[in-house]
Amino acid sequence: MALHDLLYRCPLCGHDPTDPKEAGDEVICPSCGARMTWEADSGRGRKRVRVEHRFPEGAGASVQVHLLTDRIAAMGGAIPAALGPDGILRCTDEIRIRWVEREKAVRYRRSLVGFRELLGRAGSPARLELEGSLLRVRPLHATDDSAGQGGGEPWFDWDLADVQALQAMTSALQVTLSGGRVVVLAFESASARRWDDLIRAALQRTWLREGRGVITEFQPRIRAR
Amino acid sequence: MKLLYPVVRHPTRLLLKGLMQVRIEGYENIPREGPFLLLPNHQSVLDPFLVQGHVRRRISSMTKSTQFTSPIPRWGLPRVHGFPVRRYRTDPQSVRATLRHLEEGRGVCIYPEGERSWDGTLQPLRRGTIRLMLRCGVPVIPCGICGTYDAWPRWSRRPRRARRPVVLAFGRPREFGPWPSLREMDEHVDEAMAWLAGELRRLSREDEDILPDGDLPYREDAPGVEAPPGDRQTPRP
Repeated sequence: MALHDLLYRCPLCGHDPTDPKEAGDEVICPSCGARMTWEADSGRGRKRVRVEHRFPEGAGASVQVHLLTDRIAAMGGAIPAALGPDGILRCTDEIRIRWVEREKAVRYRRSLVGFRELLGRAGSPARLELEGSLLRVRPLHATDDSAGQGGGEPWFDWDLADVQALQAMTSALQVTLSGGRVVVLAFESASARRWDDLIRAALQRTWLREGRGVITEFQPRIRAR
Repeated sequence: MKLLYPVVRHPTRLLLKGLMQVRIEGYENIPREGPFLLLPNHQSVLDPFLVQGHVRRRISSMTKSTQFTSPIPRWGLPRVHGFPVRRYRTDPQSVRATLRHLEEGRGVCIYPEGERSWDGTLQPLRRGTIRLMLRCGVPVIPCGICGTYDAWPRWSRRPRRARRPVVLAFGRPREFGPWPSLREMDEHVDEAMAWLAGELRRLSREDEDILPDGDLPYREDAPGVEAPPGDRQTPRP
């Protein structure tokens, strides 16, 4: 969890990805050298990020964070960096997956309050791959015996057409698959928001291609118009 | 009788005082008795503590089910009237729980964005919450929270002291329905959603808070600026 989760792409030059800094409150663009630092309430208004840039000149400016995220969105978010010359979205990052094994009732003084999910143990590190309308999870080290299936064979292949809901958590995504199975994709260092944007875009494209309409809501279930 | 609620409320307020100065506006809009639905915007993990710490009436709060994973919150949350909602699927049990709490004459707090805002601005509201708001037939109170994002934004691991006062503003209650049919109710979802979003923006001072962009040297040749229209993401409102 860091400012990098939000500003995963440089809002100035568009370079994707940016470099997170240890402190978590700072992001640096490796391309243009812009340095973005969270200004916790400097007295100049709320939600501000100090942006120091090297081009063309000038020391920098203090702007509200949503103006930077709007700019990233207007540049297409995570899409341009993931878009191949063949027009297919491709991206890969390291994750650990956990399955929702079952749901359990939450009770208080014998009355039912609601339900919660019971998560299974986190799997060994794996690689999440997005390719077009396919989400794949592969072992991180193909030759590693602990990876379950060697030889680089995917552990899981999910067609985005079967995804029923996508819920972003702060450093993970909850994906509801056909049949109601729920998988949690926990990112080791990548921005969950970046992946949320990317999978949303891939879902939109998949649904449009299949003539299922424009998605208006991704959770608690995908709804299209 | 849930004794933990009053026991926890006062220390929570004191703890928040150490982190921020809180200004309450429109408290007279909270009914002294009877059920009501409180719908705040969600900027930070501090929001539930802020709301439940400063509203004198007991409020049941719809809480994401993942909060019930660890033993201490699982033990404590039902004792402070928290009830879980599964966000990865439609959850009729959370609707039943909301209606039950309202029938018992309590206030129920639901965050209509369904999650914390990443950049402090209002996220799209969930249609399911709006439908519930239209259906329940109790006063609906929009609640604007301003400033908690600076104290603990979603992407940050730790809170920091907010220098400017955090504002908790309660809007005027509005009642919806009764509806002759569900179909007629559904026809009013978009209108009700626009009303609530407008109220939340106004009460959370979102428009006042927006300052000019400054003079940033955006590069017009930045990759993606010319992205095809289908791939151009709509800025999150």
